[in-house]
Parts: sequence; C-alpha cells; structure tokens
Amino acid sequence: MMNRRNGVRILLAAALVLLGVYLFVSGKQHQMFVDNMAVEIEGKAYAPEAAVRVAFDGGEPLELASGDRDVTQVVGPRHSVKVEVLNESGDVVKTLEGEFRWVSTKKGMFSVPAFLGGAPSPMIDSPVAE
Amino acid sequence: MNEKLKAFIEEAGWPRVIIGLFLLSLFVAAPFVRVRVDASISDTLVRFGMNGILVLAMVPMIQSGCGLNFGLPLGIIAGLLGAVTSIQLNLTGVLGFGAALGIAIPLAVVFGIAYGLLLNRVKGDEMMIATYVGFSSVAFMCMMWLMLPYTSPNMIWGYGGSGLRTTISVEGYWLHILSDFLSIQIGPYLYIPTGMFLFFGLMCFLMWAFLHTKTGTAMTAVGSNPEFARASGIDVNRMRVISVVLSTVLAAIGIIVYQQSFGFIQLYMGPFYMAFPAVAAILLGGASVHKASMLNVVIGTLLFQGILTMTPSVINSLLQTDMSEVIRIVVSNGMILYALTRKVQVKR
Amino acid sequence: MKAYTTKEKIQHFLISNAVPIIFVVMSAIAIPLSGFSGTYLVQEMLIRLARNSFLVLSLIIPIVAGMGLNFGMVLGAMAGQIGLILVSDWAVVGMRGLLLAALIGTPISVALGYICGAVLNRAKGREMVTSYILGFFVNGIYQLTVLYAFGKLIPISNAELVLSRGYGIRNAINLAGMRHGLDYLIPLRVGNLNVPLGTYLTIALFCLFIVWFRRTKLGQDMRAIGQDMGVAGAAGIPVEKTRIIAIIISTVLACYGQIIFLQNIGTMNTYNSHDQAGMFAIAALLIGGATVSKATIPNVFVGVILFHLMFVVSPMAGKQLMGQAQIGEYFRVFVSYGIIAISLALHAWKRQKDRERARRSLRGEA
Repeated sequence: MMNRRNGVRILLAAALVLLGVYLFVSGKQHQMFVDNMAVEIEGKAYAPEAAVRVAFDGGEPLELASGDRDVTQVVGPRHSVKVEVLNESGDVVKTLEGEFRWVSTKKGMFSVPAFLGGAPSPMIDSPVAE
Repeated sequence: MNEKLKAFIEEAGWPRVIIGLFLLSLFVAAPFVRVRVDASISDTLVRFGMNGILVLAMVPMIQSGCGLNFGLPLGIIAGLLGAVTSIQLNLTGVLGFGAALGIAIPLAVVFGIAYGLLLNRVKGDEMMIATYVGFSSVAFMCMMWLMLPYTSPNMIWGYGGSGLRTTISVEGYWLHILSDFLSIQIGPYLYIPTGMFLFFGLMCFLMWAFLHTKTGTAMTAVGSNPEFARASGIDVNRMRVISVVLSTVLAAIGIIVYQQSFGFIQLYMGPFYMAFPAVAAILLGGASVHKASMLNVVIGTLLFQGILTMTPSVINSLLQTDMSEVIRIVVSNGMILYALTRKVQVKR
Repeated sequence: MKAYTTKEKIQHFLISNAVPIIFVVMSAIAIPLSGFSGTYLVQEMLIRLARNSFLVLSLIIPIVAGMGLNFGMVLGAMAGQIGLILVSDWAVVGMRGLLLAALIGTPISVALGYICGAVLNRAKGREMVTSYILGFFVNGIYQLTVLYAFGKLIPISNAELVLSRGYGIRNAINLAGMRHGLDYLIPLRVGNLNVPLGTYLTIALFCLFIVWFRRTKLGQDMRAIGQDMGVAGAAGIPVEKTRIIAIIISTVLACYGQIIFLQNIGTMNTYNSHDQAGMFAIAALLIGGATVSKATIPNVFVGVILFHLMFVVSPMAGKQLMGQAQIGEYFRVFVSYGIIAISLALHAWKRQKDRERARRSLRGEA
C-alpha cells in the first residue's frame, strides 16, 4: 500500500516536471531575425523578392524590401508563417503559407527567399552579434 | 570543561553564542581589512549610548508580563512632540533639552495610560496589538505633522509646501548636549560620550531602584504569576498600566537622547520600525519574553549595536558589497523569533 | 429558546457588521468629495477585485484552523516572486509563463509553509506575532537570495534583470510578457472595458475549493482544532500535523495569489511587492467584517471592494478637503493599520470577556 502511494507520488512529481519542461519549451519567447536577401543553402541559390509582407503566428505583419533585415519576437518552437509577395503598387501577387520548426539558437534567422524557394528549412545562420 | 561549555551554551542559547562569536570575529578581522578598530569601538559606544534608553524601555513591560513592547513608537511620538515643541519655542542648550523632556514626559504619561488601559483588555494578545497600535499612531502622526500649527522656519518646508520637514536638525539648539558633557577624546578617532553614559546609567539605576520598591516588586509579581499576585491583594491591572506608562516615558526620553547625539529629529515614517531593533537588542542580551534585567539591557545593546557598526565596515571591505542591511534584518528578526518560540507555553 | 424581536435582530446585525458599515459610511462621504465618476470607480473596483481577491482568500484556511491571521502569507508571496523572476529571465511568456512561475513557486512555498507551520507549533497562543516576525525574518533571507545569489549562484542571463554591478536583481522588473496573461486568457469585452474573465473564473474555482474543503475530513478536523485544540487532540486528531497542513495550503495559495496580483499590475517591485501584499490583504479581510476567528467568502469580496474604494478615493478626497493629497495618502495608511489594530483589539477583548465569564460560572457566582 505504502509502495503504491509512493509510486503515485513519484509519478505525480515526474508529471509536474514534464509539465514544467513543456511550458518552458512551448512558452519561451525567442528573438528571430527576418531576412530578405540573396542566400545560398547547400549549393542552391535563392534570390530575394522586391517586396514581401511576412506575418508569423497570425501576428503583426512585417514589410521587407529586397535586402532588408528585421527582427521580431516569436513564442515556442513551432510557427506558422504567411508570406505575401507584393508588386510595385503594393498589391499582393502571390501568397504562400506554411509551417516550420525552429529549435536551434544558432540558426536564428528566417530567410524569406529560402522559404519561397522551397528550401528544406527556411532557418539560416543568424548574423554575427549585433 | 566540556560540560561547563555545554551548560553555558544551554544557558545563553545558540543564537546568542553564534551572534557573539560573529561579532568577535568581526573585531578580529577588522585590522586585516584596514578598518580602524578604535574608530569602530568609538562608533559602537556612541550608538550604545544613543539606543540604550530605548532598549531599557522594554524592561518594565516584560517584567509585568505585558510582553515585548512593539508599541514603542507611541512613546517615541511623545518624545518627538516634545523635541519639536522645544525647538518651536526657540529654546537652546540645557534649557531646550530640559524643555523637550519636560513636554514629552507628561504627554508620554497620558499616551501610556490610554495604551495601558487598552492592553489590559487584550491580555494574551498584547504583542500583536501593540505592533499595530505603534504603526497606526505613526501613520496618524504623519497627518498631524502636516497639519499642526508649527511655524519655526527651521522646521517647516521652505517654499510651496506646508507642514514639518521629514528631518529637522537640532544643531544650534541642543546638539550633543549630553554627549559632550565631560566627553573624552583619545587620539583622532576614539571618542567617549561620557555624559550620555552617565545619563543612561542614571536611568538604569532608577529603573533598578524602582524594581526594588514595593510597587516594583508587585509589578514583577504580576508578571511572574498573575493569579498569585491577585490572590495576595495586588491590583493587577493597575500594575500593568504603571509598567506601560514607564515604558512609554522611557521611550520618549530615549528618543530625545537619541536625537541629541544623532543631530536630527526624524518625523513621519521615521519611528515606524524603531521598536524592532530595541526588542532584538534586549533579547540578544539574554532577556526572555517574561524576564529582563539591567544587565540584559547593557549587554544586548552593546552586542546589537556592535554588529550594526561592524558589519557594514568589515563585510564591505571583505566582500566589496553592502550586506549590512540584510544581516541586520536576519539577526534582529531571528533573535525575536527565537525568543518567541523558545518555550511552548500557552499563556492563560 | 426565546424568539428575537426585530429590534434585537437589527441590533445584532449592526454590532456584528460594525466595521463594514463604518466603511460604507466613510466611502459615502468621501466619494462625492473626491469627484470621481461612478463609471470610473466601478471599472477600478472590477480590476482590483480581480487583482486582490485571490490573495485575500488565501487567508481563510488558517483562520478556520484557529491560527488567526496568517501574517506568514508573505512567505508564499516571496516564493511566487522568485518564480516570476526566473520565468522572466527565461523569457517564457503569456499564460505558460505564469503556470511555470506557479510550478516553480509551489515547492518553495510548500517548504516555507512547512517551516512556518513548524515554527508556529512552537508558539501556540501567539501565532500571529510569531508569523509576523517570521515574515520579516524570511524577508531577510529572500533579500539575501535575490540580491546576492541571483546572478552569482543562480545564473541570470537577461541583462535587463540584473543590477549594473553584475549580480542581484533590479528593484523593478517589467513583466510585460506575462502581463494580463491570465486576465485576458478568455477575451471578453463589455463596452470599452476588458473584463479579466480568466482571473474571475480562477477566483470562482478557488471559492468552490474552499467550500468543498470545509466539508472534507481535513477541513472538519481543522475546524475542530480551531474550536479547541485540547479536545481535538483528545479526539485523536493529529493537531500539530493538521496545523502545518493549514499553513502550507495558505502559503501555496498566497504564492499563486501574488502571481495573479503581479500579472495584473505588470511590474514587480522586487523588494517591496510582497510586504504590501500581506498588509493590504489582511486589512481588506478585516474591513470586510472578518475577525481573527471567523472569516467567510463574502467577507473577502466586501472587504476588497471597501478597502480599495477607500484606497482610490482618499487621496483625492484629502486634496479637496485639506488642499493636500499627501494627507489623504497618510490617511489610508493610517486606516489600514488602524483597522487591523482595532479588529485585533476587539477580538482579544471579546475573548477575554468570554474567558472571565467562563471562570465566573465555574466559581458558581453567575
């Protein structure tokens, strides 16, 4: 009886620790760079668009011209993204939605051209400490 | 030898031994971190004189069974009123100091009687209620300091504001009036405020003498066994009121002595936490919640003020950080906590 | 049994609710003086009800167990703050951050509650003053931890949290990431006012918990101990253990209460927030008509509203009346402390009279 009680306690403690880990991972806010520049991943080159509008997790959209770089805050490891490619008069010509995972702190930059070009992961090395 | 040491520790209690050793180690360490021992001793002595009477104010209420007087601020307020009024009347020197005492003491008697009557109705819960009586009287006086019609330009806010300043200098009135009486200066650092010690000694003597009068012994009897005291025809409530009045008067005198040495009168929230160091000091000196002596007062004040003086200077130069505030909080409240939990005794 | 007349009933009502009635009257005078509009005050009260109720509710269980007002609730508040500091350092945001802070605060507050309960068992009959001093003592240890260990022994990576000397937590912490995390978890707008529905639901759950808890075996045991420790002990209730449990529950709940309080405010005063939490919660409960030995859920809500009404109104009323807002501010400090002093004194006085009456009836004079 006592053993069973202790077992339940240990399970409960473990569950709480797991809950803590889950909360930590899924609730952590990260700083993410967003980039609209030419990039080369695994030998394949991706060219930037003239103007794009990017929104992560349904949040406030960022507008980036070719060669722009911006920074935003995202929460958790899994994100949805919506990229709208704009023409010169500001109209949406193409929309691409998708999801991606981001866990490594090293690759902290979301590359819009890589995402549009269908690279395996849109995340690339973040710029050296700014 | 070992037995004796054990008995001594048992007698004094672990916290006191630890704090005593801590203070000793501070004094030993002082020269190595280039803190002047003589200056430290001088500081300790001055603070000892400043706070002694406030600690002494704890004795009567402990003796009569009213517990630790956390309502000390009430008496301090009487002292503040005396001090402020004396400055308002523009009295200087001995006359000013005397006037401050002369005004403060009757006020303290009145406050003390009211406070004592209240405490008689709440036997067993004195300490908690005393704490809040002290706090609320300080908050009430905060409003009063703003509204009372004092006009001396040295005390009111200069322009725009009205009411008294938060700190008022007693320089030019009765600064160091006791401290400098027969004071001794040895070298550039060591200063002994003889007058303040004499005054403190006088107060201790009076207290001691009072406790040996008929009334004094009756008061102690009330504290040690109220049922027995009642049976032998002592008016328990009257004795308790007397002890509270004495405590309040001593607090009033104590704060004026404190100010003449410190140089400033601190109004508004100044007296708010003043009861705690005094309570901690007397407990550190070996008093319990039910019993206190003059020796407890002297030892306790010396130890406590010694720690307050030594920790900032020594610890700061040792660790390069100012931990004195935290150490003060832990030591003083730890001491009070120890005294409160020492005996499982449900008071009836 | 004699039937009570209407007059006696009214008298009884007035006497047993003297404190709240005085406050209603005081507010009735001060509100017109302050010149605040009704809508503003209603909005303000709705916010403050969400902000403070949980903290005040955490005081109820020790009162049931006869341990008086738990001044040791600041221990729980400190545990909650430690959780919040760590979570803000890890940049976990929103509701998840608050849950994580609560998860970290829980073991700390259980440990502190256990210590508090054990200490209070050594000081039976003077629990309140002991828990009060214990609060100060642990505050010293809290400062030691937060001011010296954080950033040295416990790594803190966020430079915004750390003092410029390289360790120790700054005086004020911005909880922007977690602000209103619980309040607006379930969005609801009425007119142009955001209703903190999430917090209200949590508080409602807590009230249900208290109602349920009082009916459990443990709750009944606590009530028995509150009535008479000796009798309860003789009846086979483990007195000391139950008292410790009462304090642990209160401490843990105070920890959650402080987290809810701070997520509503959005900034945390590292070294002051917990101190004020204790005093305001206790004053509010007493103003609501609770005593040292009896507190109900309605006491909590009435108390929070009346106390904070006075809190909001008095500076302006003081300004209109005396020409100085400062006076009103001191006035509310005075009232908070004064009300605690008066309630404690009235309670002790009543108890003493009861005791005297009991003694007299024993002697056979009555």
